[in-house]
Amino acid sequence: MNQMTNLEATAKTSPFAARYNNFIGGEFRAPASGQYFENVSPITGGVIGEIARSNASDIDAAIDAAHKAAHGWGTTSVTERANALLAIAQKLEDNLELFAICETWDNGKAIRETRAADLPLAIDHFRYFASCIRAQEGTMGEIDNDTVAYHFHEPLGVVGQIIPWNFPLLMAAWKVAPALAAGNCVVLKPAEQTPATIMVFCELIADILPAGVLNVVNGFGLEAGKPLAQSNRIAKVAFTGETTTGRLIMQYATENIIPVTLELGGKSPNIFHKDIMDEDDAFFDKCLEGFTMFALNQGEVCTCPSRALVHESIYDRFMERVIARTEAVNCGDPREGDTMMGAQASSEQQEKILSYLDIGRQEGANVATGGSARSMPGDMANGYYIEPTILEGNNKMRVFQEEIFGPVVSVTKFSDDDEALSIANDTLYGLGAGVWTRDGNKAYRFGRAIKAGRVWTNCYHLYPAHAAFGGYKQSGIGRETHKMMLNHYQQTKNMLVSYSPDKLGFF
Amino acid sequence: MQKYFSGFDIENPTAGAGCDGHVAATDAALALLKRIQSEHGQVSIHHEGGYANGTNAMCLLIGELRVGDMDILLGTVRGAPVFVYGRNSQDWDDRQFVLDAIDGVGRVFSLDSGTGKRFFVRSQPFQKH
Repeated sequence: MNQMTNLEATAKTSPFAARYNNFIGGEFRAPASGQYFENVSPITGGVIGEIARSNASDIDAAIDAAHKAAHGWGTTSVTERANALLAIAQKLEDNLELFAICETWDNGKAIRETRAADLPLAIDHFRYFASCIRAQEGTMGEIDNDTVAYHFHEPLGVVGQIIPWNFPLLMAAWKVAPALAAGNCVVLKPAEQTPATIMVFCELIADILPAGVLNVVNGFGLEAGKPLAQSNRIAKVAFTGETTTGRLIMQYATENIIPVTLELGGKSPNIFHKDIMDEDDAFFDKCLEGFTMFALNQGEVCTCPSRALVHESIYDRFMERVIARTEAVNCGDPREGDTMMGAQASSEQQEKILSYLDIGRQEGANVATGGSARSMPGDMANGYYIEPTILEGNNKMRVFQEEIFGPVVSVTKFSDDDEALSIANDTLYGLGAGVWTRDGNKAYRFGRAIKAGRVWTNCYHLYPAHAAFGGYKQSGIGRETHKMMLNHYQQTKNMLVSYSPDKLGFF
Repeated sequence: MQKYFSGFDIENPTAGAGCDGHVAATDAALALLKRIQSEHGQVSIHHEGGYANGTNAMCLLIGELRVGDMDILLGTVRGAPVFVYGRNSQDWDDRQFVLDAIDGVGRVFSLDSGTGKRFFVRSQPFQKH
């Protein structure tokens, strides 16, 4: 293995260094315990390097470094902060291929997606928040002729962020960009399944940010994530992940009375109305792709369209077409540019998905296509691969109610609009939804009636900056990827000023 | 005993005993739980949905997670209460919760994190005794 990140790596070899330390106070520091854990690539199932196994003392050191930097960073001009974000974006763009390779090796996803989605979106996210912070203004309220209320945005200070493994760099960008733009210093705990790309990121942007503004501490959730979430020296915690951990993070936050933002699970409905088959045209082709979006990122997306609701009058004809479309998904080597679907992110993830495929069969679901692990040749033989799978059943089944987080869609029929809405909303979650119809009025009514934070209408899986993303119900709190996220990283300072020379007259 | 799960043979999921209610456990899960209990004391198991690591079991110090109306007590394993999160307990009327353990890094804040093993939830049609 390389002693340093191989900046000239091609997709076929791991670009990662043999070992990565934490990034604290602008430098790479060994974990206090001296311990490391092995980072496994899902592509091969083999070890691709060692990562710092940190504990509470490393988290403390990172929070110390962040506090040391907080006043300076919080009082830099928005121009300087925006310029730093723009420089980070440029560094990512200049090294797009390297980061795409890193993400594919770290996470297992196809390089076609890291090149075309993860990286361009992450780059744009830094640019977007650079723009937002430049354009943000406080307010001034004229209470009366002599009294003025000024509202200033101030940074919170030091914030903690815990991110997931499904889009490692993009999820970091979603969290880090608004926090830094707003003038905060960050302690970031990446997922232990995908700890490496973010360290390459730190290497390349280290000279852009002042020391301590961004700190990255790797390790296991229990040993490093929990002390971060419980710390009474952070002013906010942001988390993306599972519901139980989200509940615990809220509990910890109550002890310190700090705000949280949470992005949790989903079981998103994707609704196909009968009029989509009125023509076999470009729009219908788009609908077929919209259905097949369950396979994007191997289904490891919180908004995976994992429940498809199809009008009964088109059901058989539609299913024939989407089964063919799903079977056409190129499931080759994730490192090849034309492969559409890669490896699941971990062996446990693969096992969980397989267990759900069995649960579905036990419950009586019909396996229309897929349904098994995929065996792969060569060095991928021990990687974690699953066939894109379509199950047919009803919404009461566990495979319709529980988040599988794999390339599995559960399909059912509906007979009218009321039934479609009833099924769509019959879930604990409310993160995403899809509606496909040629009827604009129907699309509008469905969009407003579905209890989810994002209703893709005649599209799916678009994640542009400047469209708010977040959950209803048990899918979380807060809205990311929009300027309103700045508010989640800012205090409001009200200065209430009297310009009158006269006393009130009470005393 | 019928095999319900691919690559996994539940010869006798209630073997080793210590289970009651709608809950069963494999030897691997019992061993992992025993190890965690000897290190940390009393714990609880929570099966909850959502996101990347979710839809699986977390093992927490008892009382760490404030339990609410949505947490349904299904039974116990080695004295550890097992909760599922859901809208109603009827979801589990015809199924038995089977706690297993596999290789892996564990849930985010779960006590199996870093042990090299992690709890894994399976289920099977409920066997009435």
